[in-house]
Amino acid sequence: MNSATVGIDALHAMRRERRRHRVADMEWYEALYRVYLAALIGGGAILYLSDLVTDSPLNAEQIRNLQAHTPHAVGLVVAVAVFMGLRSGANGGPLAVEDAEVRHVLMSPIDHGSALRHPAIQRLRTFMFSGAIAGGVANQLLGRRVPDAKAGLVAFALWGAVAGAIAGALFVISALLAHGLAVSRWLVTSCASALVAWQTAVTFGDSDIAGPFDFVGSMSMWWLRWSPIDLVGVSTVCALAFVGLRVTGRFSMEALARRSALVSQLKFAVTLQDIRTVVLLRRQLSQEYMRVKPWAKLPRVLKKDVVVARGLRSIMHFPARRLFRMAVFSVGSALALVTVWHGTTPMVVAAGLLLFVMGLDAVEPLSQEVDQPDRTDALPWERALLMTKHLVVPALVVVPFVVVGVAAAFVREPSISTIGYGFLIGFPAAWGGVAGAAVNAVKGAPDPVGGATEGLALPPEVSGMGTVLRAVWPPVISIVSCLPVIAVRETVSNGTQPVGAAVRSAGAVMIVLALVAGWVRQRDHIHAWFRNAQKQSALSSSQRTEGS
Amino acid sequence: MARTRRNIHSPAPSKALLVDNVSKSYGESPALDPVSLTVERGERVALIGHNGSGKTTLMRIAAGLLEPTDGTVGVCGNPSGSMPARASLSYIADQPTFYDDLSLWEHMEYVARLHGVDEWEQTAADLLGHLGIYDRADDMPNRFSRGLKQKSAIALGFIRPFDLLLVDEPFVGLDSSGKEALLELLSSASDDGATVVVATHELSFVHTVKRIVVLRDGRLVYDGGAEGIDVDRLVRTEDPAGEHDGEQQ
Repeated sequence: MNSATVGIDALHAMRRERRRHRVADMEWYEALYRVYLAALIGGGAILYLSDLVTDSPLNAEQIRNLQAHTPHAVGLVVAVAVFMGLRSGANGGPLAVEDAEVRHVLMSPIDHGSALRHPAIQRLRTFMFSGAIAGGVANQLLGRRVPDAKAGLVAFALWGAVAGAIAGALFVISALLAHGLAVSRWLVTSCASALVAWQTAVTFGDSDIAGPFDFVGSMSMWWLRWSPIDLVGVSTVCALAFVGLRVTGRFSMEALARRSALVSQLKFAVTLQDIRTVVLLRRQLSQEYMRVKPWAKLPRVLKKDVVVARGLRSIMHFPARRLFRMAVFSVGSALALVTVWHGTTPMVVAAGLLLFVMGLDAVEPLSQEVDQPDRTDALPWERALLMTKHLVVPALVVVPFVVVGVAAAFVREPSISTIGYGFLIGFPAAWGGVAGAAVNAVKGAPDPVGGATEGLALPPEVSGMGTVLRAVWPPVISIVSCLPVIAVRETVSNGTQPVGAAVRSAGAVMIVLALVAGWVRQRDHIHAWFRNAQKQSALSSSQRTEGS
Repeated sequence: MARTRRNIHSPAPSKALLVDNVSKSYGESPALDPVSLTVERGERVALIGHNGSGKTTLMRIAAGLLEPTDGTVGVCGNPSGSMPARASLSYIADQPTFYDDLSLWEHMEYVARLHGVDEWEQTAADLLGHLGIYDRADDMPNRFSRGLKQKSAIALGFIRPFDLLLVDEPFVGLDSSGKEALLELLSSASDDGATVVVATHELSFVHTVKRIVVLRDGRLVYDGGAEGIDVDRLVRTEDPAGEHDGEQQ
């Protein structure tokens, strides 16, 4: 037996032992409680979303459209997943093994393929499971809108789950292949873009040509029709999975070492719901660095205000890929809002979340300021005023992206009113994304007066709920800012003139955004007042105790 | 005490480390200009340079943890990062890393067995005893102080056989007894015929080597004898070789 075999035996033995440790150390009641909570919240959310969509059954023409376009549309989602997978692979993904595993196992004389195949299979399994859940939920939501479907909801959920699992698998497989075959980043991006472009063309064009991922969408419709040709696609996916798992032995040690350090921090940040750190680590993972040379020099007129100038300088250093990503988010949210307009109300959540993520990029100057509390506290400025002034540049930066989004909506819904309502709804929605991201950034800033804050005055149960609300309310602001599209849709369905509704609802959103800006401006004062009230309350309570 | 030599039956190549025109860039910033370096078997070399000079980059490339932008690295006649190279090379990094769920003793067993060492217990006990951490063997190294982590990493580096030992800033965080123990281990490895390359400013080690390699801003600026060398001046001056010659005159 050679040393490599001995090493692999040791690796397997130690993995078994560590698994046994983990199982032995597991707090079963805690785990079961978590499962219970996840089932309760997840199940509740699905039921709620299901109720939202059952009120708008598809008519005959829509069902014909559904049958014709679902394979292409689902294929487009899969194409995007493959795009992301290929990019992830080119950036060193999809595996993230422990730092110690790189140092001790991968630097020992054992075959890397043997060491990495197991984590690769785990990653494949996780994504297939997640994809299956997402696909199953999505398809059963669709099932509720299809009147007189011969298949039951279980069939909808089953084939949706199968399609989702394949999509998840394709994400991981494409990443494994791109990394294992060491395909250069430009080639990966070119191939991935070509696949997305092909699938986009067949989705939005009137052509009989099949898209590369139509078979996944077609499988999601096996509740209606069974197409044996789709099995060719499935077989190809299986073959690619086999190759992908074989090439794990050729993974780059440098990429694995880099990711191992970053991903453990990323997981910790996710546990703490620290979105800012997640964003920063995500950028490091994908090696996204600011441009050394700015896109343009600032004209003198824009340098008058030091905070605005600082913000604009930051934007001028944005890398092209970040600007492209913001444009993609804008287009995605615009298409989601068009879908809401057509009756799929839950897509407003997707639109809001996409704009929130776009906002996270746009508020970079503000976030950088928040990241440097010592610096801001040392300035002869009121910190809240500094933060408020930092809202100006992100609000301006998203303007061109609104134009891009409206253009995408116009392509999807070619009508002059799309442009008018697009801008009327698009600006408040985009600014809502900025507002949500700004709240997320500012609430993470350390309190200058010091000490723990609001949680102290609350009982533990309420304090826990408060933590959840703190995490949730920034994206909720972004989602709320997208609601005018529903107001306009309902007005049209009631047969009334929608302009008034659009203006009124956009105005309401603008009031919410003004309140958010006011919160940023007055946040420190509010906290100081709250703390003072706490102290007063504690003082009077102790005086009462002494008196009695 | 430590298993410093791998029992290689095939004729051993004379060069333990061969760095041929290796460069490394991170994006637009170069970390290492083309560097060439040969370390013969059994040599003891001190690699010195100020912060950001490229020492760690060079070591990580040799260990196979980084890929050079250009050039090649050979470890005992094999490409760096290849399986035979990994079998020959032990790398003790400047930042020790451990599993969260394994004790120090379990780490020792794991690393030894990964390298095909079955009779590891006595060596592990000796090593931990020598470094003064035997009584911490059942504790989790991830929760240790900086110095104890460093000692644990050193023990892990020596529990396995090697022909070439690369050590990056090993004296940082060590107390005086730890430094002495490490110096003895390094001497013992050299005596056993292993090649030792240590990135350090620790004079107590630098004085024991015959060869010093100096990096500055990613470039190799001095490669030569260690006798009578002023290390600080070597790192700082523009032309350390010339300066040194001048001093000798």
